[in-house]
Amino acid sequence: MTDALPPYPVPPGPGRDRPASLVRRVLPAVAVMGAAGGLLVLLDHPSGTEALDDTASGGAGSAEIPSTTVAPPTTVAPSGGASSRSTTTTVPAAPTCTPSTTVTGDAVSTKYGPLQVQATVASDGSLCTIEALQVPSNDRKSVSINQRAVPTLTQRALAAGDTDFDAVSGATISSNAYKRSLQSVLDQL
Amino acid sequence: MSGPGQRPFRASHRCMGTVASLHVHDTVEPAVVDAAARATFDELDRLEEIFSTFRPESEISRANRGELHLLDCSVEVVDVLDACTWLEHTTGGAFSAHPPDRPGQIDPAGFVKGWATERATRRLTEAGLEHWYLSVGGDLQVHGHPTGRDRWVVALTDPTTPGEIVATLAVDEGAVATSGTAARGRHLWDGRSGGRAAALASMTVTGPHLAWADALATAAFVLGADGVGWVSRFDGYHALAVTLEGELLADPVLAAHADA
Repeated sequence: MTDALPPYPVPPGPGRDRPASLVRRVLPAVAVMGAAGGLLVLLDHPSGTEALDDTASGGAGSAEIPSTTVAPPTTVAPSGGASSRSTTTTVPAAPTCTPSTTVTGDAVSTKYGPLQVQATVASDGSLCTIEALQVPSNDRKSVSINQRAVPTLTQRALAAGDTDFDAVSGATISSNAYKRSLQSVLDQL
Repeated sequence: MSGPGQRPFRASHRCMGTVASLHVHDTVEPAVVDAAARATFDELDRLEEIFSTFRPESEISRANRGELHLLDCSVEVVDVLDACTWLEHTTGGAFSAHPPDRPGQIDPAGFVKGWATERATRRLTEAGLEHWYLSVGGDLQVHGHPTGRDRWVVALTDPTTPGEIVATLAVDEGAVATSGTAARGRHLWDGRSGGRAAALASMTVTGPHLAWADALATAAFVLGADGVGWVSRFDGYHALAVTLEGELLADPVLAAHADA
C-alpha cells in the first residue's frame, strides 16, 4: 500500500483509519471491469455490501442519507441585515484606501462573452476597488444580471471588508469567470 | 513572512482545464521557491497525464479502452480507485466514478482534481516552505499564513449573482473546495438516480485534506441542503452552501468563522 492517499476522513466514534482490505475488494471487480457497470454490480450485490461494511470505517460505512437528528445548518444573514442584498442596503463608510497602481485580470471567456476585472491597488498590496471592464452581455438575461451586479460589486466588497482577501473559490459559469479573472489579479500583485 | 522589500511569490500554470495559482509567502532565496514551484506544477502535469479522460493516451483512457489492465497502471491509480470506491459507498452513490452515460467506464475526475492538487503541495513542504496556498480552479490547499495576516482569507463567489462575493473564509491549514453547477460537469451526476444534480447553487467544504474536501463537496452538492449536515459528520470537515435563492446555509461551527 502506498501513501498516495491522505488519511480517510472518519466521523466521530469507533472506526478504522482506512479500510485496509478495500483494495482486495477492487481486485475482483477489475476482472469484470469490461462489463457495463462492473463495480456498481459488486456494490449492489447484498453479500458485496455486507463485505464492504466489514471493512469500511465505522459509521462512514453506512450508505444511508443522514437522518434529521443532525443539527440543522445555520442560516447566515447577509451583511446589511434583513434578507436583501440589493443596492438599497445601507452601506457603512468605506475604509480609506489610496490606490497606487492598477492591475488588470485575465479576460476569461464565457458562453455569454468575455469577463474581465480590473483592480486598483494600494502600495501595501491591498485592493481598493474592483470593477468589471468587460461583462458577458450576449445573453439578454445575463445583461440584466450584470447591470445589477456591476455597480454593487465594488460597493459590496468594500462594505464587508472583502477587498482584503488572498484567494477565490466558487462555482457556476459567470462567477467562475469572475473568480478566475479576480484570481489572476491576485496572481499579479 | 517576507522580509522587507521581498514580495510574496506568485505563479500560475494552466492545467486540468483550468488555472493553478501558487502563492508563497516564505522568506527564502528566490531560487528555492522557483524550483519548488516548478516541481509543484510538474507534479500536477504528471498526474494529469495519468488520469485525464480528455487525453486518449492517459492510463485511465487506455484502461477504459481495455488496452491497459488497471493492475498495470501507476500505483496511484489503484489508490485513487480505492478512494472512489470508498466514497461511492460512504455517500450512498451521491459521489460516483461511474458516469451513467458511459457504462463500463471509470471517470475519477471528481476525486482526482482535489487529490492531485493536495499531492502536488508535497513539493512545497519538501522544499521546507511553510506559508503558501495552491489553488486549482478555486479548490485550494493552504498552509501557514500570508504576510500581515494570521490566516489566509478565501473569498467565495456568489453563484446566484455574478460578480458578488457571498462570504470569506479565514483558513490557516487545510483546504477549501467548492462544487456547483458550472463545474466541468461530468462528475456532477447524482449517482443514486443517474440524473443531474441541481438542488443547490453551490456547496463549499473546508477540512484538513483537499482530496476529501473536494469529493465531499461534490457529494454534498448532490445531496442538497441535507449535504451541509452530512459533511459535518466527518471529523474536521464543515460545509457552507448557497441555495438557488441565494440564501447561505452554514454548518454552525463555520458560521462562527464566516464573514458575510
